[in-house]
Amino acid sequence: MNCEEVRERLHDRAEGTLPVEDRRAVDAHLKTCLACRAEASELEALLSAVAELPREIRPPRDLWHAIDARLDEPEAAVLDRRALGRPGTGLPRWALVAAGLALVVVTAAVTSVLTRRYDEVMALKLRRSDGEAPVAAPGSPTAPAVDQEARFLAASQELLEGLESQDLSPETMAIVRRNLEVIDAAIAELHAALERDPGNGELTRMLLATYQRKIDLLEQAARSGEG
Amino acid sequence: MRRRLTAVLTAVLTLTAAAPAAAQRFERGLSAASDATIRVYNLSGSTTIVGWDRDSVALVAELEPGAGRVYVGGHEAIKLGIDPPTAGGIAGAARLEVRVPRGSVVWVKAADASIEVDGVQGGLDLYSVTGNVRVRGAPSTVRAESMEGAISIDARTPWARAKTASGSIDLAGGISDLAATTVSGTVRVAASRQARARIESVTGEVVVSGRPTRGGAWEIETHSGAVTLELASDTDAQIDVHTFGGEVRSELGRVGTRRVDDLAGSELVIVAGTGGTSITVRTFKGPVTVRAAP
Repeated sequence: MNCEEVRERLHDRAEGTLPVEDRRAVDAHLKTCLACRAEASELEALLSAVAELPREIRPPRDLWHAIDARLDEPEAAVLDRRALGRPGTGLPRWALVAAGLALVVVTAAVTSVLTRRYDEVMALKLRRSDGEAPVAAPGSPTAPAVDQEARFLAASQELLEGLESQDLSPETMAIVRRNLEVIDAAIAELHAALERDPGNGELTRMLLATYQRKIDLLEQAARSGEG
Repeated sequence: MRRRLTAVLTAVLTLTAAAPAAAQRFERGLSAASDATIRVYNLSGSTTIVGWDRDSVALVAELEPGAGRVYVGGHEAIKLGIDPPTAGGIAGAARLEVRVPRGSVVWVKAADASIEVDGVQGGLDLYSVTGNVRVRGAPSTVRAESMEGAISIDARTPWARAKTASGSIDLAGGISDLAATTVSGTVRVAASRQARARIESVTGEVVVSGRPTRGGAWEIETHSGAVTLELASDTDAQIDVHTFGGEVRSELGRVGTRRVDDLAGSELVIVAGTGGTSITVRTFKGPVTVRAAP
Protein backbone atom coordinates (compact mmCIF):
# COMPACT_ATOMS: atom_id res chain seq x y z
CA MET A 1 0.00 0.00 0.00
CA ASN A 2 1.18 3.52 -0.67
CA CYS A 3 0.72 6.49 1.62
CA GLU A 4 -2.52 7.62 0.02
CA GLU A 5 -4.12 4.19 0.31
CA VAL A 6 -3.03 3.93 3.91
CA ARG A 7 -4.39 7.35 4.86
CA GLU A 8 -7.74 6.51 3.32
CA ARG A 9 -7.94 3.61 5.79
CA LEU A 10 -6.65 5.26 8.95
CA HIS A 11 -10.08 6.29 10.16
CA ASP A 12 -11.46 2.75 9.83
CA ARG A 13 -8.34 1.41 11.50
CA ALA A 14 -8.76 3.78 14.45
CA GLU A 15 -12.38 2.75 14.80
CA GLY A 16 -11.53 -0.95 14.55
CA THR A 17 -13.64 -1.53 11.45
CA LEU A 18 -10.84 -2.23 9.01
CA PRO A 19 -10.76 -5.77 7.56
CA VAL A 20 -7.95 -7.89 8.94
CA GLU A 21 -6.00 -8.04 5.69
CA ASP A 22 -6.16 -4.31 5.23
CA ARG A 23 -5.22 -3.78 8.84
CA ARG A 24 -2.11 -5.89 8.41
CA ALA A 25 -1.11 -4.01 5.29
CA VAL A 26 -1.69 -0.64 6.96
CA ASP A 27 0.24 -1.65 10.07
CA ALA A 28 3.13 -2.87 7.94
CA HIS A 29 3.21 0.47 6.13
CA LEU A 30 3.08 2.41 9.40
CA LYS A 31 6.17 0.61 10.62
CA THR A 32 8.18 2.12 7.84
CA CYS A 33 6.48 5.45 7.11
CA LEU A 34 7.05 8.25 9.55
CA ALA A 35 4.53 10.68 8.10
CA CYS A 36 1.68 8.17 8.03
CA ARG A 37 2.52 7.04 11.54
CA ALA A 38 2.31 10.60 12.79
CA GLU A 39 -1.02 11.05 11.03
CA ALA A 40 -2.32 7.83 12.55
CA SER A 41 -1.27 8.94 16.03
CA GLU A 42 -2.90 12.33 15.60
CA LEU A 43 -6.10 10.74 14.38
CA GLU A 44 -6.20 8.33 17.30
CA ALA A 45 -5.63 11.18 19.73
CA LEU A 46 -8.38 13.20 18.11
CA LEU A 47 -10.87 10.34 18.18
CA SER A 48 -10.03 9.62 21.81
CA ALA A 49 -10.54 13.27 22.68
CA VAL A 50 -13.90 13.26 20.93
CA ALA A 51 -14.90 10.08 22.77
CA GLU A 52 -14.15 11.78 26.06
CA LEU A 53 -16.37 14.77 25.44
CA PRO A 54 -19.17 14.78 28.00
CA ARG A 55 -22.39 13.21 26.78
CA GLU A 56 -24.38 15.56 28.96
CA ILE A 57 -23.51 19.08 29.96
CA ARG A 58 -25.18 20.52 33.01
CA PRO A 59 -25.23 24.24 33.68
CA PRO A 60 -23.85 25.57 36.97
CA ARG A 61 -25.81 24.24 39.89
CA ASP A 62 -26.89 27.61 41.26
CA LEU A 63 -28.51 28.56 37.97
CA TRP A 64 -29.90 25.12 37.35
CA HIS A 65 -31.42 24.94 40.82
CA ALA A 66 -34.25 27.36 40.21
CA ILE A 67 -35.19 25.81 36.90
CA ASP A 68 -34.87 22.31 38.32
CA ALA A 69 -37.15 23.21 41.20
CA ARG A 70 -39.73 24.51 38.78
CA LEU A 71 -39.65 21.28 36.84
CA ASP A 72 -40.16 19.31 40.04
CA GLU A 73 -43.20 21.30 41.09
CA PRO A 74 -46.40 19.32 41.64
CA GLU A 75 -48.47 19.09 38.49
CA ALA A 76 -51.34 20.84 40.25
CA ALA A 77 -49.26 23.97 40.79
CA VAL A 78 -48.40 24.07 37.12
CA LEU A 79 -52.00 23.56 36.17
CA ASP A 80 -53.03 26.37 38.54
CA ARG A 81 -50.67 28.76 36.79
CA ARG A 82 -51.86 27.63 33.40
CA ALA A 83 -55.35 28.49 34.43
CA LEU A 84 -54.21 32.11 34.76
CA GLY A 85 -52.71 32.25 31.30
CA ARG A 86 -54.24 32.90 27.91
CA PRO A 87 -56.22 30.11 26.32
CA GLY A 88 -54.32 28.27 23.66
CA THR A 89 -50.77 28.93 24.82
CA GLY A 90 -51.00 27.22 28.17
CA LEU A 91 -48.71 29.86 29.71
CA PRO A 92 -49.03 33.58 30.30
CA ARG A 93 -47.07 35.88 28.04
CA TRP A 94 -44.72 36.95 30.84
CA ALA A 95 -43.92 33.29 31.51
CA LEU A 96 -43.10 32.68 27.86
CA VAL A 97 -40.80 35.69 27.86
CA ALA A 98 -39.19 34.54 31.11
CA ALA A 99 -38.74 31.03 29.71
CA GLY A 100 -37.09 32.46 26.63
CA LEU A 101 -34.74 34.56 28.73
CA ALA A 102 -33.95 31.59 30.95
CA LEU A 103 -33.09 29.55 27.87
CA VAL A 104 -30.73 32.26 26.67
CA VAL A 105 -29.08 32.49 30.09
CA VAL A 106 -28.70 28.72 30.35
CA THR A 107 -27.24 28.51 26.88
CA ALA A 108 -24.77 31.28 27.68
CA ALA A 109 -23.86 29.61 30.94
CA VAL A 110 -23.27 26.26 29.28
CA THR A 111 -21.14 27.95 26.64
CA SER A 112 -19.21 29.71 29.37
CA VAL A 113 -18.62 26.45 31.24
CA LEU A 114 -17.45 24.74 28.06
CA THR A 115 -15.17 27.63 27.15
CA ARG A 116 -13.67 27.75 30.63
CA ARG A 117 -13.10 24.01 30.61
CA TYR A 118 -11.53 24.26 27.18
CA ASP A 119 -9.21 27.01 28.41
CA GLU A 120 -8.23 24.99 31.45
CA VAL A 121 -7.46 21.99 29.31
CA MET A 122 -5.47 24.04 26.87
CA ALA A 123 -3.53 25.76 29.65
CA LEU A 124 -2.57 22.36 30.98
CA LYS A 125 -1.54 21.24 27.53
CA LEU A 126 0.67 24.25 27.12
CA ARG A 127 2.39 23.81 30.46
CA ARG A 128 3.08 20.19 29.61
CA SER A 129 4.48 21.11 26.25
CA ASP A 130 7.21 23.02 28.02
CA GLY A 131 8.32 19.82 29.62
CA GLU A 132 6.61 20.39 32.96
CA ALA A 133 4.98 17.53 34.77
CA PRO A 134 1.21 17.22 34.44
CA VAL A 135 -0.48 19.53 36.90
CA ALA A 136 -3.92 18.00 36.79
CA ALA A 137 -4.78 16.10 39.92
CA PRO A 138 -5.61 12.41 39.43
CA GLY A 139 -9.29 12.05 38.80
CA SER A 140 -9.78 15.71 38.00
CA PRO A 141 -11.80 16.55 34.88
CA THR A 142 -8.66 17.65 33.01
CA ALA A 143 -6.62 14.52 33.63
CA PRO A 144 -7.86 12.74 30.45
CA ALA A 145 -6.98 15.81 28.40
CA VAL A 146 -3.46 15.71 29.77
CA ASP A 147 -3.23 12.09 28.66
CA GLN A 148 -4.37 13.09 25.19
CA GLU A 149 -1.84 15.85 25.11
CA ALA A 150 0.90 13.45 26.15
CA ARG A 151 0.05 11.25 23.16
CA PHE A 152 0.03 14.28 20.91
CA LEU A 153 3.44 15.38 22.16
CA ALA A 154 4.77 11.86 21.78
CA ALA A 155 3.64 11.82 18.16
CA SER A 156 5.26 15.15 17.40
CA GLN A 157 8.43 14.14 19.20
CA GLU A 158 8.51 10.90 17.23
CA LEU A 159 8.09 12.85 14.04
CA LEU A 160 10.99 15.11 14.90
CA GLU A 161 13.26 12.24 15.91
CA GLY A 162 12.26 10.30 12.84
CA LEU A 163 13.11 13.23 10.63
CA GLU A 164 16.53 13.48 12.18
CA SER A 165 17.18 9.80 11.51
CA GLN A 166 15.62 9.87 8.05
CA ASP A 167 17.88 10.14 5.06
CA LEU A 168 16.96 13.71 4.25
CA SER A 169 19.48 15.94 2.58
CA PRO A 170 21.43 18.33 4.82
CA GLU A 171 19.88 21.21 2.88
CA THR A 172 16.38 20.02 3.68
CA MET A 173 17.19 19.53 7.33
CA ALA A 174 18.72 23.01 7.45
CA ILE A 175 15.47 24.46 6.10
CA VAL A 176 13.49 22.55 8.68
CA ARG A 177 15.71 23.69 11.53
CA ARG A 178 15.60 27.33 10.45
CA ASN A 179 11.83 27.30 10.36
CA LEU A 180 11.52 25.36 13.60
CA GLU A 181 13.55 28.11 15.24
CA VAL A 182 11.10 30.69 13.91
CA ILE A 183 8.15 28.73 15.25
CA ASP A 184 9.78 28.02 18.59
CA ALA A 185 10.53 31.72 19.05
CA ALA A 186 6.85 32.47 18.43
CA ILE A 187 5.83 29.76 20.88
CA ALA A 188 8.15 31.23 23.51
CA GLU A 189 6.59 34.68 23.07
CA LEU A 190 3.11 33.25 23.39
CA HIS A 191 4.13 31.34 26.51
CA ALA A 192 5.45 34.54 28.04
CA ALA A 193 2.20 36.32 27.21
CA LEU A 194 0.21 33.49 28.76
CA GLU A 195 2.21 33.71 31.93
CA ARG A 196 1.08 37.32 32.22
CA ASP A 197 -2.50 36.46 31.34
CA PRO A 198 -3.02 32.76 32.07
CA GLY A 199 -6.74 32.64 31.44
CA ASN A 200 -6.63 34.19 28.01
CA GLY A 201 -8.43 31.84 25.64
CA GLU A 202 -7.39 33.71 22.50
CA LEU A 203 -3.71 33.50 23.43
CA THR A 204 -4.15 29.81 24.15
CA ARG A 205 -5.80 29.30 20.80
CA MET A 206 -2.97 31.16 19.05
CA LEU A 207 -0.42 29.04 20.83
CA LEU A 208 -2.12 25.83 19.80
CA ALA A 209 -2.36 27.06 16.24
CA THR A 210 1.37 27.73 16.28
CA TYR A 211 2.01 24.23 17.58
CA GLN A 212 -0.12 22.92 14.76
CA ARG A 213 2.06 24.82 12.30
CA LYS A 214 5.07 23.11 13.79
CA ILE A 215 3.46 19.72 13.24
CA ASP A 216 2.50 20.74 9.71
CA LEU A 217 6.09 21.71 8.99
CA LEU A 218 7.42 18.41 10.29
CA GLU A 219 4.88 16.47 8.26
CA GLN A 220 5.72 18.48 5.17
CA ALA A 221 9.39 17.67 5.68
CA ALA A 222 8.57 13.99 6.23
CA ARG A 223 6.74 13.94 2.90
CA SER A 224 9.95 14.92 1.15
CA GLY A 225 11.27 11.48 2.02
CA GLU A 226 8.29 9.65 0.55
CA GLY A 227 8.56 8.00 -2.82
CA MET B 1 -8.44 3.40 -7.98
CA ARG B 2 -4.93 2.64 -6.85
CA ARG B 3 -5.41 -1.05 -7.41
CA ARG B 4 -6.64 -0.32 -10.90
CA LEU B 5 -3.71 2.00 -11.40
CA THR B 6 -1.34 -0.71 -10.35
CA ALA B 7 -3.06 -3.32 -12.48
CA VAL B 8 -3.11 -1.17 -15.55
CA LEU B 9 0.50 -0.22 -15.21
CA THR B 10 1.62 -3.35 -16.97
CA ALA B 11 4.66 -2.25 -18.78
CA VAL B 12 7.24 0.20 -17.70
CA LEU B 13 9.63 1.16 -20.39
CA THR B 14 13.03 1.82 -19.05
CA LEU B 15 15.50 3.69 -21.09
CA THR B 16 18.96 3.57 -19.79
CA ALA B 17 21.07 6.63 -20.03
CA ALA B 18 24.63 5.54 -20.00
CA ALA B 19 26.86 8.20 -18.65
CA PRO B 20 27.80 10.20 -21.70
CA ALA B 21 29.74 13.38 -21.50
CA ALA B 22 26.97 15.53 -22.99
CA ALA B 23 23.29 15.85 -22.11
CA GLN B 24 21.06 13.21 -23.65
CA ARG B 25 17.64 13.75 -25.08
CA PHE B 26 14.81 11.23 -24.95
CA GLU B 27 11.44 11.44 -26.61
CA ARG B 28 8.62 9.07 -26.01
CA GLY B 29 4.90 9.08 -26.79
CA LEU B 30 2.17 6.75 -25.63
CA SER B 31 -1.61 6.63 -25.74
CA ALA B 32 -3.43 7.61 -22.59
CA ALA B 33 -6.96 7.86 -21.25
CA SER B 34 -8.43 11.34 -21.46
CA ASP B 35 -8.69 11.38 -17.67
CA ALA B 36 -5.50 9.49 -16.96
CA THR B 37 -3.79 9.61 -13.61
CA ILE B 38 -0.21 10.65 -14.18
CA ARG B 39 2.57 10.46 -11.66
CA VAL B 40 5.80 12.25 -12.42
CA TYR B 41 8.94 11.87 -10.37
CA ASN B 42 11.91 14.08 -11.06
CA LEU B 43 14.08 15.19 -8.21
CA SER B 44 16.53 17.59 -9.78
CA GLY B 45 16.17 19.99 -12.69
CA SER B 46 12.73 20.99 -13.91
CA THR B 47 9.39 19.46 -14.80
CA THR B 48 6.94 21.15 -17.11
CA ILE B 49 3.47 19.68 -17.60
CA VAL B 50 1.25 21.00 -20.38
CA GLY B 51 -2.32 19.90 -20.97
CA TRP B 52 -3.34 19.30 -24.57
CA ASP B 53 -6.40 18.08 -26.46
CA ARG B 54 -5.10 14.65 -27.34
CA ASP B 55 -5.48 11.28 -25.67
CA SER B 56 -1.78 10.72 -25.44
CA VAL B 57 1.25 11.58 -23.41
CA ALA B 58 4.40 12.97 -24.98
CA LEU B 59 7.58 13.09 -22.96
CA VAL B 60 10.70 14.97 -23.84
CA ALA B 61 13.56 14.58 -21.40
CA GLU B 62 16.97 16.14 -21.40
CA LEU B 63 19.36 14.53 -19.00
CA GLU B 64 22.67 15.82 -17.84
CA PRO B 65 25.32 13.18 -17.17
CA GLY B 66 24.62 11.41 -13.89
CA ALA B 67 20.96 12.41 -13.80
CA GLY B 68 19.69 8.83 -13.82
CA ARG B 69 17.35 6.82 -16.04
CA VAL B 70 14.09 7.73 -17.69
CA TYR B 71 11.08 5.50 -17.15
CA VAL B 72 7.58 5.77 -18.55
CA GLY B 73 4.63 3.41 -18.85
CA GLY B 74 0.90 2.85 -18.40
CA HIS B 75 -2.35 3.96 -20.01
CA GLU B 76 -5.08 4.96 -17.57
CA ALA B 77 -2.46 5.30 -14.91
CA ILE B 78 0.88 6.49 -16.14
CA LYS B 79 4.12 6.70 -14.26
CA LEU B 80 7.09 8.52 -15.65
CA GLY B 81 10.15 10.25 -14.40
CA ILE B 82 13.78 9.90 -13.57
CA ASP B 83 15.13 7.04 -11.55
CA PRO B 84 18.14 8.56 -9.78
CA PRO B 85 21.45 6.73 -9.58
CA THR B 86 21.52 4.24 -6.74
CA ALA B 87 25.05 5.13 -5.75
CA GLY B 88 26.91 8.39 -5.64
CA GLY B 89 23.84 10.61 -5.52
CA ILE B 90 22.38 12.76 -8.27
CA ALA B 91 25.14 14.34 -10.29
CA GLY B 92 23.08 16.01 -12.98
CA ALA B 93 19.74 17.62 -13.58
CA ALA B 94 16.91 16.40 -15.78
CA ARG B 95 14.56 18.65 -17.68
CA LEU B 96 11.22 17.02 -18.38
CA GLU B 97 8.53 18.41 -20.62
CA VAL B 98 5.39 16.32 -20.55
CA ARG B 99 2.24 16.86 -22.58
CA VAL B 100 -0.77 15.19 -21.04
CA PRO B 101 -4.50 14.94 -21.84
CA ARG B 102 -6.16 18.08 -20.56
CA GLY B 103 -8.43 16.13 -18.19
CA SER B 104 -5.57 14.30 -16.49
CA VAL B 105 -5.03 14.11 -12.78
CA VAL B 106 -1.38 14.94 -12.21
CA TRP B 107 0.96 14.26 -9.29
CA VAL B 108 4.51 15.57 -9.37
CA LYS B 109 7.29 15.05 -6.87
CA ALA B 110 10.59 16.96 -6.88
CA ALA B 111 13.49 17.82 -4.63
CA ASP B 112 15.22 20.88 -6.03
CA ALA B 113 13.45 20.65 -9.37
CA SER B 114 10.96 23.32 -10.29
CA ILE B 115 7.46 22.31 -11.31
CA GLU B 116 5.34 24.14 -13.84
CA VAL B 117 1.84 23.10 -14.89
CA ASP B 118 -0.30 24.79 -17.49
CA GLY B 119 -3.59 23.88 -19.11
CA VAL B 120 -4.48 20.79 -17.07
CA GLN B 121 -8.11 20.60 -15.97
CA GLY B 122 -7.91 17.66 -13.60
CA GLY B 123 -6.61 17.74 -10.07
CA LEU B 124 -3.02 18.68 -9.34
CA ASP B 125 -0.87 17.48 -6.46
CA LEU B 126 2.58 19.07 -6.62
CA TYR B 127 5.45 18.77 -4.19
CA SER B 128 8.95 20.19 -4.29
CA VAL B 129 11.43 20.67 -1.48
CA THR B 130 13.32 23.71 -2.69
CA GLY B 131 12.07 24.15 -6.24
CA ASN B 132 9.49 26.68 -7.35
CA VAL B 133 5.97 25.54 -8.20
CA ARG B 134 3.89 27.39 -10.75
CA VAL B 135 0.35 26.62 -11.89
CA ARG B 136 -1.78 28.23 -14.59
CA GLY B 137 -5.02 27.25 -16.28
CA ALA B 138 -8.22 25.88 -14.79
CA PRO B 139 -7.49 22.74 -12.77
CA SER B 140 -10.27 21.17 -10.71
CA THR B 141 -8.14 21.28 -7.57
CA VAL B 142 -4.60 22.31 -6.70
CA ARG B 143 -2.45 21.18 -3.82
CA ALA B 144 1.03 22.65 -3.96
CA GLU B 145 3.82 22.43 -1.44
CA SER B 146 7.40 23.60 -1.35
CA MET B 147 9.62 24.01 1.66
CA GLU B 148 11.73 26.84 0.33
CA GLY B 149 10.64 27.36 -3.24
CA ALA B 150 8.06 29.93 -4.30
CA ILE B 151 4.53 28.82 -5.12
CA SER B 152 2.57 30.74 -7.73
CA ILE B 153 -0.97 29.76 -8.65
CA ASP B 154 -2.62 31.94 -11.25
CA ALA B 155 -5.60 29.80 -12.06
CA ARG B 156 -9.34 29.63 -12.11
CA THR B 157 -10.11 26.78 -9.76
CA PRO B 158 -12.68 25.99 -7.10
CA TRP B 159 -10.12 24.74 -4.59
CA ALA B 160 -6.45 25.39 -3.92
CA ARG B 161 -4.09 24.70 -1.04
CA ALA B 162 -0.56 26.09 -0.92
CA LYS B 163 1.98 25.43 1.77
CA THR B 164 5.58 26.56 2.26
CA ALA B 165 8.08 26.88 5.04
CA SER B 166 10.00 29.93 3.86
CA GLY B 167 8.98 30.16 0.22
CA SER B 168 6.62 32.86 -0.97
CA ILE B 169 3.05 32.15 -2.07
CA ASP B 170 1.26 34.08 -4.80
CA LEU B 171 -2.38 33.30 -5.52
CA ALA B 172 -4.43 34.89 -8.25
CA GLY B 173 -6.80 34.16 -11.06
CA GLY B 174 -10.02 33.34 -9.22
CA ILE B 175 -9.79 30.63 -6.58
CA SER B 176 -13.11 29.99 -4.84
CA ASP B 177 -11.78 28.22 -1.79
CA LEU B 178 -8.17 28.85 -0.92
CA ALA B 179 -5.84 28.16 1.95
CA ALA B 180 -2.24 29.30 2.18
CA THR B 181 0.08 28.34 4.99
CA THR B 182 3.66 29.43 5.54
CA VAL B 183 6.12 29.88 8.35
CA SER B 184 8.20 32.78 7.13
CA GLY B 185 7.34 33.27 3.48
CA THR B 186 5.34 36.16 2.08
CA VAL B 187 1.77 35.44 1.00
CA ARG B 188 0.16 37.59 -1.66
CA VAL B 189 -3.42 37.02 -2.72
CA ALA B 190 -5.34 38.83 -5.42
CA ALA B 191 -8.86 38.97 -4.01
CA SER B 192 -11.56 38.20 -6.52
CA ARG B 193 -13.94 35.25 -6.45
CA GLN B 194 -13.02 33.75 -3.10
CA ALA B 195 -15.99 32.46 -1.15
CA ARG B 196 -13.64 31.25 1.52
CA ALA B 197 -10.02 32.03 2.18
CA ARG B 198 -7.72 31.12 5.01
CA ILE B 199 -4.16 32.42 5.26
CA GLU B 200 -1.77 31.50 8.06
CA SER B 201 1.79 32.55 8.73
CA VAL B 202 4.14 32.84 11.66
CA THR B 203 6.47 35.65 10.64
CA GLY B 204 5.62 35.88 6.95
CA GLU B 205 3.95 38.99 5.58
CA VAL B 206 0.42 38.70 4.19
CA VAL B 207 -0.84 41.03 1.46
CA VAL B 208 -4.38 40.81 0.13
CA SER B 209 -5.29 43.14 -2.67
CA GLY B 210 -8.32 43.71 -4.85
CA ARG B 211 -12.05 43.48 -4.33
CA PRO B 212 -13.19 40.49 -2.31
CA THR B 213 -16.39 38.86 -3.49
CA ARG B 214 -19.41 40.01 -1.54
CA GLY B 215 -20.44 37.35 0.96
CA GLY B 216 -17.00 35.78 1.13
CA ALA B 217 -15.31 34.83 4.38
CA TRP B 218 -11.62 35.52 4.93
CA GLU B 219 -9.51 34.47 7.87
CA ILE B 220 -5.96 35.69 8.20
CA GLU B 221 -3.73 34.75 11.09
CA THR B 222 -0.10 35.64 11.79
CA HIS B 223 2.13 35.67 14.79
CA SER B 224 4.30 38.64 13.90
CA GLY B 225 3.89 38.86 10.15
CA ALA B 226 2.54 42.17 8.84
CA VAL B 227 -0.91 42.06 7.30
CA THR B 228 -1.79 44.51 4.56
CA LEU B 229 -5.23 44.72 3.00
CA GLU B 230 -5.23 46.82 -0.17
CA LEU B 231 -8.89 46.87 -1.02
CA ALA B 232 -10.80 48.45 -3.85
CA SER B 233 -12.35 51.70 -2.66
CA ASP B 234 -15.89 50.38 -3.22
CA THR B 235 -15.30 47.18 -1.26
CA ASP B 236 -18.12 46.06 1.03
CA ALA B 237 -16.44 44.40 3.96
CA GLN B 238 -16.41 44.14 7.69
CA ILE B 239 -12.87 43.70 8.91
CA ASP B 240 -12.41 42.39 12.44
CA VAL B 241 -8.87 42.79 13.69
CA HIS B 242 -7.81 40.99 16.85
CA THR B 243 -4.33 41.84 18.07
CA PHE B 244 -2.26 41.77 21.23
CA GLY B 245 0.61 44.01 20.28
CA GLY B 246 0.33 44.87 16.62
CA GLU B 247 -0.34 48.39 15.43
CA VAL B 248 -3.53 48.75 13.41
CA ARG B 249 -3.88 51.45 10.80
CA SER B 250 -6.83 52.01 8.54
CA GLU B 251 -6.53 54.40 5.65
CA LEU B 252 -9.74 53.50 3.91
CA GLY B 253 -11.91 56.60 3.45
CA ARG B 254 -15.32 55.22 4.42
CA VAL B 255 -14.60 53.50 7.63
CA GLY B 256 -16.37 53.30 10.92
CA THR B 257 -14.33 51.94 13.77
CA ARG B 258 -14.80 51.03 17.35
CA ARG B 259 -12.07 49.86 19.62
CA VAL B 260 -12.43 47.46 22.50
CA ASP B 261 -9.44 47.31 24.80
CA ASP B 262 -9.07 44.94 27.68
CA LEU B 263 -6.55 42.60 29.14
CA ALA B 264 -7.20 40.11 26.37
CA GLY B 265 -5.77 42.37 23.71
CA SER B 266 -7.66 44.69 21.42
CA GLU B 267 -10.22 44.33 18.73
CA LEU B 268 -10.81 46.79 15.97
CA VAL B 269 -13.83 46.62 13.73
CA ILE B 270 -13.62 48.37 10.40
CA VAL B 271 -16.74 48.57 8.31
CA ALA B 272 -16.38 49.56 4.67
CA GLY B 273 -19.50 50.04 2.60
CA THR B 274 -22.26 47.72 3.74
CA GLY B 275 -19.89 45.15 5.20
CA GLY B 276 -20.91 42.31 2.90
CA THR B 277 -17.64 40.42 3.13
CA SER B 278 -16.25 39.11 6.38
CA ILE B 279 -12.51 39.52 6.89
CA THR B 280 -11.05 38.43 10.20
CA VAL B 281 -7.43 39.20 11.01
CA ARG B 282 -5.82 37.69 14.07
CA THR B 283 -2.25 38.52 14.98
CA PHE B 284 -0.16 38.43 18.08
CA LYS B 285 2.05 41.38 17.23
CA GLY B 286 2.07 41.86 13.49
CA PRO B 287 1.14 45.33 12.22
CA VAL B 288 -2.13 45.50 10.32
CA THR B 289 -2.75 48.05 7.59
CA VAL B 290 -6.00 48.56 5.72
CA ARG B 291 -5.84 50.89 2.78
CA ALA B 292 -7.39 51.59 -0.58
CA ALA B 293 -5.83 49.84 -3.54
CA PRO B 294 -3.78 52.23 -5.66
